Amino acid sequence: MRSVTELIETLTGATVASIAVELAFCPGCPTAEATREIFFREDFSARLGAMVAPFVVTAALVGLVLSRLGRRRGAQTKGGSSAAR
Amino acid sequence: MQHGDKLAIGGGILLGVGLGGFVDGILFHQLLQWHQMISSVLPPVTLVTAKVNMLWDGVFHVFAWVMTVAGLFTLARAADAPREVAVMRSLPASLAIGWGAFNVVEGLIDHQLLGVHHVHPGAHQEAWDAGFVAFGAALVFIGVVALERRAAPVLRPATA
Repeated sequence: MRSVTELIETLTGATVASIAVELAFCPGCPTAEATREIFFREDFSARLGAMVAPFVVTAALVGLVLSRLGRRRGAQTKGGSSAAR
Repeated sequence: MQHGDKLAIGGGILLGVGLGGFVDGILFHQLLQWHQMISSVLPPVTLVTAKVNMLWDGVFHVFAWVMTVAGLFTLARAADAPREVAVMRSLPASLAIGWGAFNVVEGLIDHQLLGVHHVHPGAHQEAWDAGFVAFGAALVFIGVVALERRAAPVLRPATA
């Protein structure tokens, strides 16, 4: 468990280092630095997870349902229709 | 079920997920401004906190865009693959399933489980959150029923 946490922290650090280039976010904006600081330092991993999770879970569900649908159909029509468009 | 049918339905669902994400982001985050991505844990009450929320909204839109593009490419592949049902017969239902499924999953994870934002914060926010999930579930139900009716050869084999 500890190693997983360390891995996440390392990956987060690498992500921050690769993205948080000084000039990447509106260098002339007076609030840019404070925004960047909060965005990358405050619960970055957890918030990114909250962002990604709904998309990943939905896509996984879609894949699961479609694979089961295909299997069910395949079992019901073994050697069935081969109509093509 | 032909390979092309699975691609058509899967592509439509992915497109629905992406477009559903855009509806959420454009309608609730930008036009109505009911909430932003992490507005319940970091309320956008100053310029800086509003910009942080805006950044997270941008990340959300990136993933919505990726799902949309993935859906488009999957549908394009379906167009050239052997199918039993025309893409347009399954597309509206697939879109509804994708949009609804995303609402249900996003509502359960972000609103209920993590609480990073709520649909309409304040009085009756639980009812708004529940309504959001119920709307998504209704879309999935309508989509599945429509898919069974319009794409019957795929879901209900003639030999069954």
